[in-house]
Amino acid sequence: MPNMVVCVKQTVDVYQLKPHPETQAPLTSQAQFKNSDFDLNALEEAIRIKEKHGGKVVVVSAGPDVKPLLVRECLAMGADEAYVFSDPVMARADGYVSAAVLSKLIEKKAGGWDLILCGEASLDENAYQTGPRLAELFNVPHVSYVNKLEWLGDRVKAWKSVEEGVRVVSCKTPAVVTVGLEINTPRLPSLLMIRAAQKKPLNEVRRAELELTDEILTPLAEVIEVKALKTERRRQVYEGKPEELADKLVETILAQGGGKR
Amino acid sequence: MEPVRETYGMMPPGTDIMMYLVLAPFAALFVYGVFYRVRRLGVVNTGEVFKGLFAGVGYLVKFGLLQRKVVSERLAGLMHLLIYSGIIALFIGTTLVFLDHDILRFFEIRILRGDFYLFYEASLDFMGLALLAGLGILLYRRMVAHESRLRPRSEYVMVLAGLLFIGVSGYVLEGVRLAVEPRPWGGWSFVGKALSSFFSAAASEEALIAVYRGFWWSHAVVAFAMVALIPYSSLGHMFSTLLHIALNAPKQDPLGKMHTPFKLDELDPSGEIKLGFKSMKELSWMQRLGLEACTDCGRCEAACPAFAAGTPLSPRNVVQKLKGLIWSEGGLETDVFASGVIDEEEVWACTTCNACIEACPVLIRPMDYILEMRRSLTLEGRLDKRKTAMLTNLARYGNPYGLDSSEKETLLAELASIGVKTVQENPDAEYVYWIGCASFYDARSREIVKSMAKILLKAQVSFAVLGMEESCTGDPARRIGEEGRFQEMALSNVELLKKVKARKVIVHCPHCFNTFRNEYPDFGLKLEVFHHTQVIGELLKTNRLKLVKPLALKLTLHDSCYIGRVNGVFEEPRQILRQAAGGENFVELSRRGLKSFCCGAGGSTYWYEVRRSDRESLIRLREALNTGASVLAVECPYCMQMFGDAVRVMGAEERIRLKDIAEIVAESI
Repeated sequence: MPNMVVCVKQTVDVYQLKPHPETQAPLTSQAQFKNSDFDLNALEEAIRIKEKHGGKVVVVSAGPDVKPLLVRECLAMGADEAYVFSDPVMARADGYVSAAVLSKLIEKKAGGWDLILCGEASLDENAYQTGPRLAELFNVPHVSYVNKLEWLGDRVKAWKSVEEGVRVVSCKTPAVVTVGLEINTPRLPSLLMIRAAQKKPLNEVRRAELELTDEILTPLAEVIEVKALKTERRRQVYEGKPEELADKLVETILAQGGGKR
Repeated sequence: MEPVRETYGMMPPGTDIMMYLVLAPFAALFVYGVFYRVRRLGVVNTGEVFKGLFAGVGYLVKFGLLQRKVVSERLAGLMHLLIYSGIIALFIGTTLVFLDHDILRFFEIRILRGDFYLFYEASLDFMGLALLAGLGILLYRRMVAHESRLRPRSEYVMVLAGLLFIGVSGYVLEGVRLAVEPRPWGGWSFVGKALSSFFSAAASEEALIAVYRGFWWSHAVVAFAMVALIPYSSLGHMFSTLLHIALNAPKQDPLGKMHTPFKLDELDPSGEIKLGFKSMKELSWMQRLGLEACTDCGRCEAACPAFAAGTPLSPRNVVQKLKGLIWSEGGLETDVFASGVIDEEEVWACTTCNACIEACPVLIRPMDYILEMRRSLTLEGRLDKRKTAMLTNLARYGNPYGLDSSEKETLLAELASIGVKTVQENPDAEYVYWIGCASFYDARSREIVKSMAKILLKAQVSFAVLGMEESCTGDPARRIGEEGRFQEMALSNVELLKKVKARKVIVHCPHCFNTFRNEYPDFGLKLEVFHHTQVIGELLKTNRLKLVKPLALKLTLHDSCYIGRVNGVFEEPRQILRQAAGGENFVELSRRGLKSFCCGAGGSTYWYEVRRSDRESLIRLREALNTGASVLAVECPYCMQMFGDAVRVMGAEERIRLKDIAEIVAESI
């Protein structure tokens, strides 16, 4: 029966993010927060393994302002308990800091584990760092970009997407697995389930308990500026017979540098 | 000589005792069967049953005795009426014989004598013909017309053969008796009399007596067997349907109201969470009785738009499969989804159009069972991406489209520019005009609000809109089975509407209309709700609005489910269209009013896909095109969107245009 840990990041809902009309900086103050999509896939996969093989699912989350309601949603999906590190210092965190903080959270609070599941990337930063870094910190194998996963007792078998194909690998546990969006459809906890999840333990953890040094909390990457990409359509309209237009269209696309690989 | 019934004439003495001996095992089988079925159904308190029967007596008379809904379909209704009245008459006839011969005779009273007896003979001969005619229609429907919704079953052959034999052998007995022992009043038994001359010519008296005795016993034994079969065969429907009609029908919610299983604000969060059902044991015996009453007649299936569109759903199959579970080994405990008895897609395909409820001759509500099963799936979050997205959108943005509420500003600015006030600007407005998400977020549907606003302003109706504060009524959440989310939204809307002291609300979306009218009273809000067609109809009637530019186009009307069938608004839309286009330009669709055919968007099905071979909207649009109308009038923004897609798919843009009734009116003022 595997003990599993799932790392869940709360991010702004990037699909709803609007740029400032002048500076093009995203208006994060108005943005709504949600659990990062990929991480919910990781959680769903952990819950499915638990439903089939038993075991336990612990959610860990670290961020500048972790919203308890969103953690409750994870618990309502079927996680057993959650450990949360909510500290403004995380506002600047990159993959290096996140992995380090999560590893402390897991080591000090979550207890023994057989499998750590993460989303392959986060919805907001898309850096693909945290999962592999966690594996390095714990010195265990990791499989990334997984779209199918089987728990085999002391091993996992994973179908991982690579360019133009799928590679099937297996490795010993404990291990870290990062998953993609195709692996499953996360269940949506109903409001009643979210309410019932009030009974499950949601533990807030303080900085002191994790023995976080300044070195751990200093990001390696520095964000200088975030801007929305503005793309304007050319809005050209051609009129005439379809046969002639097709030629004209091809010409124009090629002339503009399109159609090359 | 006075005419009198000669019971056991031509039979050897002692036949009566023999007959009772033969009857005994059949009677025992019948009684055992009845007890078995009642027990299996899970009836615990029989006192409750009798009290319920008494309370439901009005329904029993209307829908049981008078068969109000059975006869709504012509041929099937006639067939059933003939067989039903024939059997009842023959049963009463036989009971009278029993009273006359086995009870009253001992008190030296005879009832089957004189004029009454002659009337008795003539009516029974007549009703026997009714039975045979009904069985004739039955054979025609099954063997000649091959009505596709009628299914063969081996037990039907047995039941049909039994009934036919009882009918025919009764006449043979009568004919032979009158051939051997003619009576001056024999002519009253007109069928028997006609047969008698044939029989007396065909065989000797001894042969006839032998034939008579053989037929007498076989007639009796087949009749007994049929009675004994009642609890074990489809014949049982005569009791199960009546019991269901009496016990369940009086307690049914009004159409359009889903059962409220809990109140969110009174819920104990630590209590056990249960919603909907996944197995028969979670249903009460009354709910199981509702399944038990199904006769597999298929009328719901014939009316079901999802079935017509080739989705996996047939309401008849759902009910029949659930009914089957009541009787199968371990069926009560079976998880309907895990076992594969019900495919989740069946449950999702329902558009909640209520056509199956309208069609059912015995007041079963297949849709209710379907929606309760949805609730159990949604409770566990067993939803695909699109359903999940819709519910997430409701939770995050207060609308199912998932668009930011700032999108509303565009429409509100346009409305403000023509003079529409918000409740803040006009707190004393008589009506609150509830715009609904479709018209806030869908460009085509915005035209409906603008037209309606123009009409209301022109007629100087005092109204105001809620502006940015309006959000979804929660209808898609409730219909998809997310009761908690629905109630959360309902409670916040109730609070908002109370805060602005709304008493009268105008809505042009039938789904919002239904939610306000039928769902919100459970959450403490009673409003006078008006569909915009009702408001326009009233304005025209009272001459506050005049149509000056009549539309010289041929038009037809699609009745939306939730304004028409569910809430019974049929007249106003027609009155408006006749006035706007001229009576001769308004043509009806073949399926209209209570029998209207859903566009395919209801019950939140607008928000996700179900595997299918056709689309409700395409089927319906073909019907509309067949009328030759150049305008299809609609009264619902979702119908508008569905038919808009259908028109594009069929490339019918040149042949037919879609207009909301408000748009037609706004163009003619």
